[in-house]
Amino acid sequence: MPDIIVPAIQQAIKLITSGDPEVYATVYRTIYVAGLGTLLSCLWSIPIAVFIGLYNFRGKWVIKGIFNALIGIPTVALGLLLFLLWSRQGEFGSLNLLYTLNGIAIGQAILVTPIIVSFTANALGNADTQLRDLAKTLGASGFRTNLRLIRETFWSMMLSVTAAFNRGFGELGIATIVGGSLAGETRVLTTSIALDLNRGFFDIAMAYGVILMAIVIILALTVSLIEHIKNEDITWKKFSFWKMY
Amino acid sequence: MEEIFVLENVLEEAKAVSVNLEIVGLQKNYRAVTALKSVSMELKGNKIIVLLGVNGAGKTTLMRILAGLEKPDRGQILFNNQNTDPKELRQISTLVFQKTAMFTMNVYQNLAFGLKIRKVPKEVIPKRISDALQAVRLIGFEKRRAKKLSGGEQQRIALARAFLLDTDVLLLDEPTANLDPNSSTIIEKVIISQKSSQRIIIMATHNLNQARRVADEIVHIHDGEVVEIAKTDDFFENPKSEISRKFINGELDF
Amino acid sequence: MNTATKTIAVLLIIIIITGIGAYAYLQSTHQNPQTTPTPTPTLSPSPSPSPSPSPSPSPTSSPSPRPTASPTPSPSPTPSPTPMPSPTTLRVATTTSLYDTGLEDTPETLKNGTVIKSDLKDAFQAKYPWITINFIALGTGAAIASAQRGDADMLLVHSPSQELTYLKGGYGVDRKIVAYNFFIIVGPASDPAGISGMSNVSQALINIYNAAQTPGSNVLWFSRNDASGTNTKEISLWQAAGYNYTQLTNTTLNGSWFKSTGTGMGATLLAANYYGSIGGYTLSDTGTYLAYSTRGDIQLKTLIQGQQSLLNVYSAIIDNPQTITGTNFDASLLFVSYLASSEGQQLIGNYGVTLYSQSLFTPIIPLLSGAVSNDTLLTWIKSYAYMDSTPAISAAGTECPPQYRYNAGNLYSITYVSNNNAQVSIGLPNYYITDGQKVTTLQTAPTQSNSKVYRV
Repeated sequence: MPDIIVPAIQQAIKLITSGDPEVYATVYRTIYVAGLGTLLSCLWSIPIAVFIGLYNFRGKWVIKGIFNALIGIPTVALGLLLFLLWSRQGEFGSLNLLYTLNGIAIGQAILVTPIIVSFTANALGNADTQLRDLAKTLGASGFRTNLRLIRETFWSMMLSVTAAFNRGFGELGIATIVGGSLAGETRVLTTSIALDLNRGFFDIAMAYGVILMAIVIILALTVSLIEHIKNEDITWKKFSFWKMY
Repeated sequence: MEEIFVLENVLEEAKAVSVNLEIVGLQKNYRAVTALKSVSMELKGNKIIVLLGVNGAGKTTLMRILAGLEKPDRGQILFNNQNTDPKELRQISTLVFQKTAMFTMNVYQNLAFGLKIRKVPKEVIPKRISDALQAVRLIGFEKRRAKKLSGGEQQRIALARAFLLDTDVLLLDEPTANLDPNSSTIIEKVIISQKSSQRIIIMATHNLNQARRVADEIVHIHDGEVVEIAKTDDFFENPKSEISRKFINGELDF
Repeated sequence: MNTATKTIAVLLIIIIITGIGAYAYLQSTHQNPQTTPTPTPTLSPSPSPSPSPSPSPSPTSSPSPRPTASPTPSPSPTPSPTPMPSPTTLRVATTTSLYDTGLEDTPETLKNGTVIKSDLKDAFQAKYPWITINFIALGTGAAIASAQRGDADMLLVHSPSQELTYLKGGYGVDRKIVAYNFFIIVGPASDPAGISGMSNVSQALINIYNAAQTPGSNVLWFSRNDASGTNTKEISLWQAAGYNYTQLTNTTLNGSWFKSTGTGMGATLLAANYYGSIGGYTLSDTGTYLAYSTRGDIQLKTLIQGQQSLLNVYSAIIDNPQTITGTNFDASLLFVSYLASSEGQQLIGNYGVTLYSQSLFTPIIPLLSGAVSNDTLLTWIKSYAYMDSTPAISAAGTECPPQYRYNAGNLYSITYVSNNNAQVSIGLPNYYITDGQKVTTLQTAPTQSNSKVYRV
């Protein structure tokens, strides 16, 4: 195993330092589609999550169950569905979303919606009932209580947003089917890996994989770091990072 | 001699008629467990009423219902002879929990939360907050993150937060549980200073000595029922019910 | 029962049911393929009805070589009381374009599910039941890399230059050409570059290039750019037209008329069809194009076909057991011999006829062994796919330079014997444009041909 990973890391460093604009462009495109997709999804997912998480209604468990199940929707299935809808014969063909980055972004927005909804609704539902009581006993109305709860669980929401971004960042089905992996236009990290795999260039494929994982890890750590700073678990003193748990 | 800092907003003119809270036939079940069988009592302002009882007797349940956080299965609560629902109760009263809860904000924001909801004008808030902190001996704690304070500090903040709201009914569930005896005494004095004809203070405690010091009336609750209501001295010297007598002597087996 | 016990009981039941289901499924896939519906003897819609060869053994296939190293006596096709050799698996690395046509392991079925033709895998396994074939479909580059690592026992690909490199490297032996067809250049029906029907492929590419340069043009070219066999052919075509492929793929130099997809043939066809307002041009193999267009998935038209430079030759290469360990040489040799046998060749030649009204592949043994004659085609094939002992591509060579033959038995002397000894002349296969019009005259049709689809 080390003899696979170490050359991959070396190759990854070579790729990054080579200054090849296509490498940077590929990374940028991947971040763009995943980022735009996640942001878009938040627009509708968070209100849905608030509704599911904080209000009780008939059949709530069914809705929750459906969203939970949709978390694992296969990306190729979704990609295929979108392809059929957006092709010239499809209902939404006039939108001209096929083979564009925005098309991939919209596809990923749909893909990650269950993640954001489920995780956030869960976090809200599990929010310390004590805090809810506290807000109420201090005179907050139902709405203000919910607002307070949302703010209290903000970092759990960030977790779900990060998870959503990671899912979009590393998915292959939608990028391939909807985007077409056109060089210079819609090629992203995952489709690059698939392409190099098909060509037999396993080392370059692994290198892209390393880059992908590195970005995901750095992002997760950064979010965690910001959370800890905001919660004043650490200060700017040099070595206090290691004291976090 | 220690000076007692009195909250400005507590100084009120004595009114002729005091507020009253009438509880009629309150019943509450949680699934299979009956927490309150049938509780009735009448409480008036200008008093501190202490709820005594063993763990699980129903004190907390009663307080939560009075706070409007739970809906009773049966019974009524009348405030100033008017029927109330939990929503109204939440405006009339506030409850300080046994296990303190703090928002993920700093002390100032925690304290200001209730004030902002009641639309207290912005200019007035900082002064009130610093006065409240003074009263509980936590001057200068405004910027500290509330969740990072010690148990005792959090409890005092919670008390200050409740006092600030200036509600008609003040419910305190073991307010000095986390405090050392010295701080306890100080806080007891602050609680006493909150007494007014316009306010009913209901406190739950395990500490019989504290009850003796602070209470005007004792309500002894056992097994979801009111066993005895009496003035403090009467209760401790002449308990009318057998259960109360055993409780005071520490012989009550439950 | 309390909740915990109930939960455990339910979980156990689920595990047991899943286990039984998996077991049953695995058992069924190891079944003798004869249990699948056997091909019906009549082909209803075919233009010239003829008895279809059934996969059951015919006496004419006995000359196909049996490797002396076969596990136990008598791999005889007729069910006999002799014991079968121990079961073994054969892994064939093949290219996605070839695999996607279904020739290898998808039977030809009508819409109502009737199986008309079985595929190579079913036929071969019916004949040699102890061998299970697994096809690993990858891009040509990856397929070759896979075989080189020993993850596959043999190759079935269509890229002579890459095959030469493989042989040269000592990884492969016993290369055998098995079939051929033609690539086609397809594009939008409106043909903005005006290349339809051109016979000079280089000129057509030049036209496309120039048309794409003019400002405001909507001429696009789609390239797979994935080192596949199709892509290798495409690169050689651009080179013949005078362009450097690497420069063409450079989007900063060329703007964006040259699109590299990096994906398989099907996905590239879809991109060429659906991109923008009219799509663009691309090089495609016949099988994938026909599959997609008869299903109505694409509306691209065949614009150039049947030219020498578009020749596409399919070959098998067996992993060299002297350099790659753990591979199954015997089963590979059996399979290659089967492909070259009359039965295999007939199977290859008839595939696609019912669904697409034409063969997707033309079997090569009849041509190579002289059972049919077409000098032009033979010359084309030799110039493109024969190798001499340098080693280099050379018409003067053979299918496999002698230094790369190993234990081949009579693999290279297989001839074609037809079922009913009918002499059939073959020419360039017919192609259909998607609106159903048949093209009968092709620009370089050999003179003697009556352009008939080869079949027995």
